[in-house]
Amino acid sequence: MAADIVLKVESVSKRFSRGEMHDSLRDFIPSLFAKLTGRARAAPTASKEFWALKDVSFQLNRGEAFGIIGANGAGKSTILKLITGIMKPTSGRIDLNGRLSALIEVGAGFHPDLTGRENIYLNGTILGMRRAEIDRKFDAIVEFSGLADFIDTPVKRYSTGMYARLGFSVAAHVDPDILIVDEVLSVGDIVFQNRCLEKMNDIIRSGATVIFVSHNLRAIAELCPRSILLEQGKVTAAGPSQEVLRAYLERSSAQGRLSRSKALLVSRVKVRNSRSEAVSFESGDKIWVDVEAECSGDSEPLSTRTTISST
Amino acid sequence: MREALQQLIARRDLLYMIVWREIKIRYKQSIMGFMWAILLPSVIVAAGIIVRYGVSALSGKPITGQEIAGITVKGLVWAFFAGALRFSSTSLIGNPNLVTKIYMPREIFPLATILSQLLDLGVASCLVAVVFAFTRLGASWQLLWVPLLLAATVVLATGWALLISAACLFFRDVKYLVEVVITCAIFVTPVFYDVEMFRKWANLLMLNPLAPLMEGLEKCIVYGSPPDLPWVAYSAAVALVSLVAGFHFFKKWEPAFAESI
Repeated sequence: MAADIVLKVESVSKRFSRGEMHDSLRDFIPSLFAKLTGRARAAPTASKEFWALKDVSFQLNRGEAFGIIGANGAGKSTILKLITGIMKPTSGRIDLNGRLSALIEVGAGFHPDLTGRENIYLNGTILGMRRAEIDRKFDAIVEFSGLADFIDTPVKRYSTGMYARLGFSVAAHVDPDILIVDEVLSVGDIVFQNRCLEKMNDIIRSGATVIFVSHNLRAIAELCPRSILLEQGKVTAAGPSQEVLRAYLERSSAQGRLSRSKALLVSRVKVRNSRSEAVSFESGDKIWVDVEAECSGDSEPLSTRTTISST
Repeated sequence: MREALQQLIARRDLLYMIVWREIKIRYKQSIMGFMWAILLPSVIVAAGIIVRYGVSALSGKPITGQEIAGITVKGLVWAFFAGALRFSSTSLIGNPNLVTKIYMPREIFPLATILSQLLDLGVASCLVAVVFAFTRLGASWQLLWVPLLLAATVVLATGWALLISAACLFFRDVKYLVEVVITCAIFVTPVFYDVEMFRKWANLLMLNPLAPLMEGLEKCIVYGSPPDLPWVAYSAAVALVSLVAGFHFFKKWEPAFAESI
């Protein structure tokens, strides 16, 4: 693997079996007997299988920030779990070159009965730091989280936001070669979210590689020059983030929901700003929605309604 | 396997923190704190003394201080062994977040169980000191066997703990099976009795790999005589095989943990 490539994902696929597996000996042993004596009814295994990822390939250079987007269930979390080694791919290869820190869920590994201070040590070692390293970084972690006053309170008394802040603070101080961030910025208040974005920018500037998975398209567009779009386990778009985001938005708005009646045929919906290019908006922005529809002559009177909801 | 061991050594701080967490959590919310570590083995020892008292009443031979000391030693070892197996069954399934969200060498969890139980054993051994003070038993050079015998016990427990923790992840009812086996095993392990009491059946009882270790510990701590070496060698061999097999099994199935838990 070339020196400046830190991650190489080569035609990786992951299969899960849908449906109930045997999780007790009580079920397993009779089914084993049935199999041995040949009395098992041939189960239609194909229908029970489900490919969470199919032939996914991409590679990351050192110092690159890379976005992964896609709807719920598209396989984003699965690819992260394969990269971190939590699961093994069914087929394909993943080559990793460097220390990795994954923020798949902030504060995974926090224990509710332990204090913030104790959890920093616990979570820090879980994320791969040595204790001496945490000693050194402890003050910076507390400072970043802004929880100095509550650091000796058990985290079960923390709010969700405080919990996430502490979790992010620990993970951001691991100094990884590769940082994987999954959907963490959706928690915490706006001030902390901005601080997280800033910190991630710092990490990127310091030369680390970042993989960022989020529904926050604006953050992806800002942080990551390059992205891929996952749809039903396949990479359907790859390249500069703006283009990938546009492809994602067009597809998600054009999917299925366009027309429910025969009388009215909606052929295209496009969300844009005045120059027809935005993929994300800030409060105060003007949003334009273009709708093209055809209506078939002799129908009842039509009414239209537009709903905008945020994801 | 070598790589797995290197990874484990690299993450020794994590092992330390997980052990520390187990102990901290166990004692943080209970008023009795470390008394628990003494209470449970005390109950086993007390039960053993009652049984022995009953036997001595039947046979007409009075119960000796050495017998009481022997039951104390073996009761503590039993408490460690049973606790290690019992808690290893929940060591992985009790940490679903860590198994499914973050990568680490997962054998850390059963190993942490063993270490925390070992710490409990250390705390509880003050019981032995108390009993020795009462029965006025002394020490001898044979005590030098204790570390070796304990090490073999720990290795044996670790091998089985690795196997049990992984098996429980795939089959939840293994937990109940372990519980039943532990409950029954106290009858075929010389905790409340000595294997010599069974005369020609003694060798059959010694096939239980835990038996030579317990008898050996009793002999060198209480009676100041050396353990039965061929049998200890047998136990040590079984312990090593268990450890290697347990670790191998664990590592073989580890990639499937996250999706099966």
